[in-house]
Order: sequence, then structure tokens, then C-alpha cells
Amino acid sequence: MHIYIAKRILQAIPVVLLVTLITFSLVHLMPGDPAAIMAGEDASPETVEMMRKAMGLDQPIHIQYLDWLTGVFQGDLGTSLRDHRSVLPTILQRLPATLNLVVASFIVSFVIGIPVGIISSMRQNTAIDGFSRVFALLGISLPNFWLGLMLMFLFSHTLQWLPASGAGTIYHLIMPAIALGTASAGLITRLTRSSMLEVVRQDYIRTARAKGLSERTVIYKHAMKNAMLPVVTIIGLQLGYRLGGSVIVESVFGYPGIGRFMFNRMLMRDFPMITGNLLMFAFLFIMINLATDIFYGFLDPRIRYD
Amino acid sequence: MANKRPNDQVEPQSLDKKTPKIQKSKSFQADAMRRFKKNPTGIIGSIIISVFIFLAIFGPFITPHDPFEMNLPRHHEPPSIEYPLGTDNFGRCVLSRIIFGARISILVGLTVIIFRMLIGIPVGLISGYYGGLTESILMRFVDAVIAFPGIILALAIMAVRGQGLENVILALSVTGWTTYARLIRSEVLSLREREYVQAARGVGFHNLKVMLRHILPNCLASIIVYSTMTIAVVIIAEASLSFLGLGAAAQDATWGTQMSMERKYLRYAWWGVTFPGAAIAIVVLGFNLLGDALRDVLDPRLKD
Amino acid sequence: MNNNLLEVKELKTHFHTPEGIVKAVDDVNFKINPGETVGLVGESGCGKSVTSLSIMNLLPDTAQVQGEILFEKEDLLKKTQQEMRKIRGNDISMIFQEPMTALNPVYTVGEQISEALRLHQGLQKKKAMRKAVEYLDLVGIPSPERRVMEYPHQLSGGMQQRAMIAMALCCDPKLLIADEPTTALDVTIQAQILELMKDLKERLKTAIIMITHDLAVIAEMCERVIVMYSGRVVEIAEIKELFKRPFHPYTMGLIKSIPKMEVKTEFLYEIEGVVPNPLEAPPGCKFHNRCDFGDEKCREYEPDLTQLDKNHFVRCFYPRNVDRGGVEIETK
Repeated sequence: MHIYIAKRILQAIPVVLLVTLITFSLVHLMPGDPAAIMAGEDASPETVEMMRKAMGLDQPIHIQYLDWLTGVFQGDLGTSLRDHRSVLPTILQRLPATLNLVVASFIVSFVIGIPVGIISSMRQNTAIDGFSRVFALLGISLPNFWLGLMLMFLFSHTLQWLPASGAGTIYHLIMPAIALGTASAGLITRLTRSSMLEVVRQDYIRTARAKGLSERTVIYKHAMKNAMLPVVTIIGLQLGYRLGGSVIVESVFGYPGIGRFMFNRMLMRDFPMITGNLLMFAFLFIMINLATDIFYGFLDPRIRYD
Repeated sequence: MANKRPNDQVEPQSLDKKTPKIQKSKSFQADAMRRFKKNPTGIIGSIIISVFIFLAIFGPFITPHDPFEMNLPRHHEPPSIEYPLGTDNFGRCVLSRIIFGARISILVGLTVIIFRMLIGIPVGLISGYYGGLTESILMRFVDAVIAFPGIILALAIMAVRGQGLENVILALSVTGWTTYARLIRSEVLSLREREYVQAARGVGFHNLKVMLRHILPNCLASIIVYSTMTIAVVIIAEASLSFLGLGAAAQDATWGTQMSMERKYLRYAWWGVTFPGAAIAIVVLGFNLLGDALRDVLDPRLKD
Repeated sequence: MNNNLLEVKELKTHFHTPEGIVKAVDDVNFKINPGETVGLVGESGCGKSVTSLSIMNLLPDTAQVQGEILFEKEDLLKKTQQEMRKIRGNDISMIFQEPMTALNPVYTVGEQISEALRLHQGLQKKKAMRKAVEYLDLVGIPSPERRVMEYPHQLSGGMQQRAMIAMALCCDPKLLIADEPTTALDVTIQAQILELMKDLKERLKTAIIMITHDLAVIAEMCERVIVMYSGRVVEIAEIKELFKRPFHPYTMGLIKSIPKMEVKTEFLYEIEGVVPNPLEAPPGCKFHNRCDFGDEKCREYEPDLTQLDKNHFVRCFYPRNVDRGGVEIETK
């Protein structure tokens, strides 16, 4: 098991480095001269030149990369062009709100997706199954912003049950979480269903029944653990989707999270903020996937005793 | 217990050993087509998509009103006989604009898919086929690209390059090819060890030829199924970016842009937002249905 | 012989499929005595597996079962699922062909064995696990205390099958149904497993139904043989009798197909033709289109299973009484 964990960590390291490379390249593709921007509009050429030296922009590119990288590892992701504040603290300030939203939407997806998928598989080709499949299909077909707007129209504008924007209470989370989590719920329903259907056909299920185990034990002990394996593997990818989706959903609902913030800064061309954000998200993604992989190792003994 | 049964055929039944007639095996395509026709989801999906393709091609000729004609005094009128889906902020007919938007949305979808294939398939082929260090490097690179959430990376790219439809296409192409790469790679890995591939290499075929003629055609089924479902995703992604205001200008108004422009009036004129969004949902649904049916038909391994 | 352990009477198992009714098992009758090892022989698709699944009532919902299956005088077909669960794994156990896929990959071997013990014998976890170790030892797995914590994929094919046997026998069943237990194994491992089963049979006095298509396995293990063809029993005999004087043309064909070391031949004998499609079964005797000896009567009417000798039954109008000058088999 330890070997497995070590291997995974080792594999993640080059990915992290490549991520930094990609981010840095993007930084360099940004138009405009950062030194000039920092120095201000009426700065003289000499001032700009001094600025450039101070920012280390006169160095060869690989030195710049290494400097930047060292800074990153020390927590310095740069300074915002807009308000001249350090990037990392600004991001961290807004991150919790988005994390709340992401977790809430995960709950929505899994709490709906897995049970519906299991029931659907056990009652294959009945009305319940048909209904669930339609629901799942709709879930993955409806654009999340459209769903969000429709929910807002119904529950905020018309019924006035829920607040249309802002954050702070759980009521503020409900609609955004549903909007963000529905597509995933549909996906998980389908995946769980097909996974269960395949597992239930396996020989070891027949063996379990031949031992006289109750149907409940057969399904919930023997079948489920195997069926959940594919679902676990997609958790990491789902996170990536959600981080992206949060930009949209937060914009729709005026939710003060990092997604909406990032989008605004993008409009303002606040490049350090944008790239700092990129790095943060990518890093989060890699960490979560690593954790998921390790967790998977706990579930599937075939992987860890390779 | 006697087991007599009336014989339907008057064929003489001799007692010499008869082997039952061997059925002529139908070709795979014919069989697949037959199964597809029986599949209700596939049929519905195909119908939906055909309708939209029809609208995309002939749309401009059949719109009830000019999609660009502004009629300010009649802004935000609810759906009526004259304007079946109502009018928007500038008095333009929503239905006409939706029909017109069909062509752009579908075009964008197709273009992005093609670009993604052009990048992703070679990467997958090469890494799967050659293995070793090449594979490791390429796959780590793929992992790194995947680590950035698609929309966010697209946003960053558009921050660099600016807004507009071409940049949307660029951003979506450059960020989404990774799944093609992984898909093809896993297919190649499983096919690489098949006998006919080894036979081809044994005969001395150039690696490239082996890849293109022997391996790639067998990936076709997966590519088709996956592409169908990805077009759906791309259409939503483009709509999302346009909805955020980053898409095309008014001239090439996609459904996402239409929604974006009408968004602030949701409370009072819900039709401006609802119907373009519904159009997106229906097209996407169509592609998903089609993709499901294709997967059932082309990849029986995945069937229940 | 009236203390039959298992008596199968007029068993019919039909599957309702979109293409029609598949009569997988159509009128099967046989008896098993306590402690007896009986072979169930036939080609793929003849219904032997379905028969065993019918006994255990492990069939899918599309199956319709008629007849009587008397286990210790009680009709299993009339029992509820709940009652059957008390019997499965406990009084009647079953082992299957592919041990790798028949064991759950995400649970340890010990867990899968002890779970049966906890269920049927009400043992506590620790005690059940210790007993599991005992049974692993019984089936000849070295270092059982270590193996019990391992997962199926960590064991070799032979050891997996041994573990399956341990799992099936741990609750001391009276009847063990073995569905092609050695078919998926190497020949050398096959021999070991058969030895093991013979040994266990002696010790535990379990009756065994040995399902196989391999006559060599039958010869090795069984005291009596039931031959099935196309969903029916066509011959029942004691083993020596079967090899020396097979009565049914199908059985004769099977035995004739076994290549003999001493005889030089150009072509291996095979029974011409193929098994009839169960959806389009011809009337009359199901074997007539492949039979060397039949006539019009065989084409129109199906023979009954008749008793020709003390323990010898045949379903044929013209059973051939050919003295084959015997293939000598070693039985005890």
C-alpha cells in the first residue's frame, strides 16, 4: 500500500511542475508590459526601466521562471494589477465561499445520484427505471446557467421563497448548489446504474446467493462495493467540472465566491490574479485527485497489491 | 410421452445426419443499422438533430421575421400569434433569433470537435503505440492540462486574446482535446497486443502505417460515440462562455449571447432567457440520445 | 434404497425469452443417495448446469420450473426464498467453474468463508474466522493463517478453487454440487483438486453431484453416472457398467470418441451433427438426427426412460447391448 501511495505521489510531482510551466507560459503571453503598467501611465522610460529591473524582468526567461517558482512555493503568487494587493491572501479570502458551494453541490449530486442509480438498476426496465433514466438524461442536458435562471425565476421572482443572490445562509446555497450539481447527479445516476447492472451479473454474486445470503446482503455488501469503484474514480474529474461551473453559477446568482471574482478580474485583465487563480485551482485539482486515488486504493485491493 | 408436432415444412426428413444450415453472417454495419432502427432513443435523437441541422441550413429562409430587425416600440412583448416566442429588448423576434442561432451553435460545436480530434487523437495514438518515455511525458502533459478546469483555462486564454467567437473556438479546442487523447490511448493499449497488429508489424509495415490502417479504424466506434456526446458538452460550453458575455458580438448572436443580453429582464420578460436556453437543452438532449443509441449499437460490450 | 437424499421428479425448466420458450430442462428424473458421488455428463447446452441451478433455485425470473425436487423428502420447489436461503450453503452447497470470478475480489478469502459460518451457524466473528482457517487447512492450503487474510487475486487458480471448496463445505452440507470445478484449471492442478475432493468426500461423507463434460473426470470420481442430452436424461448407470456396456447411442458415441493410447487411428471419431436448437427442437427422440441406429419411430415418438437392469436406465427404443470388451477403469 505504501508503495502505491509513494508511486502516486511521485507521479503527481512532474504534473505539478508542468502545471507551473503552463501557467508561467500563459503569464508571458499576456499582452502589455507589466513593468510599464506597474510604473504607471506617466512614468518616464528610466522609471519603467528601473521598475523592470526591480521586478526582475530583465533576467533571462528560465531565471524568471525559477524566481517565480520559488516565489510560488513560498506563497507569493504575485501582486494584483488592479488593487496592488498580494494575490494569495485575496484568493484565500474568497475561497471558502466557493468551497461551500462545491461541497453543497457534491452532496446534491451524490445524495441524489447514487440511490437513484441503485434503485434504477434493481428495478431495471420498470417505470421507476425509465423515469430515472429520463431524469438523468435531462440532468446532463440542461445548461447549468439556464437551470439556475429558471430556478431563480420560479423560487425567487415568482414564489419568493429563496433569495436570488448573495451568501451567508443555507438558503443562499440551495439554488446554486442544485444548478451546479444537477448535471453531475445525472452522470452519477447513469454510472451507478450501469455499474450495478454489470456487477450484479458477475459470478461472485451468484456465489454469494449460493451461500444463502439474504438479497440485502448480496446487494449492499457484495455488489455495492464493487459497483462504487468506477464512481469513486470520477470524483476528481467532477471537482474540475465544478470549479469551472462555479464561475458561471456564481455569476448567475451573484454569489461572492472565487469563481465570480476571477471572472471579474479576467474582464479587468488583472493578470497576476488570473494566473494565481489558475495555479490555485490546478493545484487543488491535483491534490484532490491524489487523495481520491489513494482512497480508491483502500477500496480495491487489486490495485494496491500489484 | 409422444412428442408429435405438425411439420410446417414439407421437407423430407431423412435420417442421415443433418447439420443445420449455416446462416449467412450479416455484415457488422448492416447488423448495427438494424439495431439502431429499433432503438427509440436513437430515433428521437436523430429526429431532434435533423430538425436543428435543417434549421441551421435553411433557417435564414424560414424565419417568420428578420432576426436583426429592431422594432423598439414592440420590445418585450410576450409570446403571441405574431411573435410566437415573444420579442426581446430591441423588439426583435425571439423565435427568429433562435432559428438563426442554430447555425452558429452547431457550427461552433462541429469546429471545436474537429480541432480537438486533430490534437487529441495523434497524441493518444503516439503515446499508446510507442509507450515508454514518450507515453509518460505525453500523459503527464495531458494530466497537467486536465488539472485546469476547462472554463477557467478558457477564460484565461480569452483574457490574453480577447473576446469574440474565434477566441471562444480557440479556447475550447485547446482545453478539451485531452479526453480524446486518453480515450484513444486506452483503445490503442488494448489493441496493440492483438494478433493482427503484431502480424502487421511482423510483416514489416512502417509504424505509421500500422497506426493509421490497423489501429485507428478500430477506434472509430469509440470516437463516434464520444464525439456525439462531446458536441453536446461543447455546445453548452460555448453557450456558457457567451452567456458570460465573452462570445460573439450581436451579429453572430449565439443562443448563449441572446440569453446574456436578456438576462436582466428575466423577472419581467422571462421568454427572452427561457426559450434560447430551452433550445440549447433540446439540441443537447438530442445529441445525448443519439450518443446513447450509438453506444448501444456500436459497442455491444457496454450494453447492459 | 429408500432413504434418498435427493430425488428429482419430472423436472422441467423453461425460459421465457423474446425469441420463444427455451426448454432447457425437459423431464429430468434421477435420485441421489447419501454420501454418493454421481456424475452428470453431457455436452454444453444439454441442461446440466440449469438442472443444478434449479435444485438450488438460483434461476433468473424468466425461468419457469415445474416438477418436484425432493430433498430429504421435502419439495424444494415449494419452499419460499427465505427457506431456500437456509438450505443454500448449509445443506446443499455449490461450487462453480471459474474460481477467479466466482470469488468477490474486494473481500478477503477468510471473510467470504466466515460469512457463511456466521450466517448458518451463528458463530461470532473471531470464532468464524478461526474455523475458516481450519477449513483452509483442510483443503490443503499451506500457511492458512496467512492466506485467510489475503484477497482472491493473490491466490493461484488451484488455491482459489480450494478456497471455494472450503467455503462450500464449511457448514457441512449433505450435498455438494460441483459445476465443472476443474474445467478452467491446468491438468496437473485438476488432478490435485479431484484428489482433494475424493479425500474430503471420504472424510465428510458428503454426496456430490459432479457436473462435467469430461468423461475422464467421471471415471476418476464417480460411482454412478447420469447422461444428459438436450434437456433430458438419456442414460443412468453405474460407472463400470456405463463404460463396459453403454446402452444409449449417445453414450456409446461419447465413449467411442475417447482416443485410446493403444489403438492407432487416422481420424478421431466424432458424433456427427450438432445439438439441436432448444427453440426448434424436432419432434421425437432428440438424438435421432445424429443417431446411427434409429428409424421412423424415433423420428415421431420420444422414448421414455426405461429400466433395463438393476441400476441401468435408458431412454431409447433400440438400446444397443454392445459388449465393447471394455475400457478398464480404476475404481475402488
